Amino acid sequence: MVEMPEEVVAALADPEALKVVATISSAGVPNAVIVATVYPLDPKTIIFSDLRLGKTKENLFQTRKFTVTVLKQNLESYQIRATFSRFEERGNITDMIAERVFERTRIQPRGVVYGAVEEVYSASLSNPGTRLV
Amino acid sequence: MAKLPEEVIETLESDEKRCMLATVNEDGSLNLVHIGSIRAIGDEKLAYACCFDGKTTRNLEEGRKRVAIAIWKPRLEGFQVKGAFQEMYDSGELFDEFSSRVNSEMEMMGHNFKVRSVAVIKVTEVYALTIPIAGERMA
Repeated sequence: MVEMPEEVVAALADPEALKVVATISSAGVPNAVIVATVYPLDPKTIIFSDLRLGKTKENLFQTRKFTVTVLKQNLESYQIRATFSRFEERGNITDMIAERVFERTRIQPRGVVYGAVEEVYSASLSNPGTRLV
Repeated sequence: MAKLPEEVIETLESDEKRCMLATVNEDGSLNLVHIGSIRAIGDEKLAYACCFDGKTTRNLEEGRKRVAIAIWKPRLEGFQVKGAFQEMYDSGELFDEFSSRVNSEMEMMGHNFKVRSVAVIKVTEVYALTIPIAGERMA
């Protein structure tokens, strides 16, 4: 588990930034979906809500690997590779996140995915592929 | 092979869209990057410009051909195209077409990158990513 640099945490917390989550099935088939609820719980932990996660959730339980790429409006971009640590339906943080997400989307999340950050890369055109952590 | 629905092709033609391409790394982890130049070639293939020798190109050339592309249409729509890498072109009509467009865009953005090759992806599945129909297969 590693700590994301400040600029990456800020990008993930930016509500205007596009966030995509990629997962992989046990058969090796990638899946990539837009997940607006991705959020940095702390510099080592990424979370996102289950609003209608189908294949993504199935893949997380099968292979536990996922990658989040965030793209800010100014095209600054970061790639965060993570390991799925748990799916929580209830709990202090999960309930608080669910409440916030419901206020924004009017959809009740089914739970929250927690992931441990393993590697962080720049995905901006100024230094594509550079490992940051 | 699947056909891209008209609304996906239209979205890919828009300057406002954003696309992220996922490929599979050697260790089974995912590489996921923003690709600005993706567009439809007919209704069964996608193509994009490769401007540097990055992880995406290496993954495809090393034989891990499965890809997934998330397409965001501002502000609340999205699609996912799944496919398989078919071929890389470093010359010819498609290469020249992408080079003339993408090289000038890169220059305008102040980057020195030039198109090295053009990757062609065969479309195998298309899904909606828009709530409440996220996950529904479109093709």
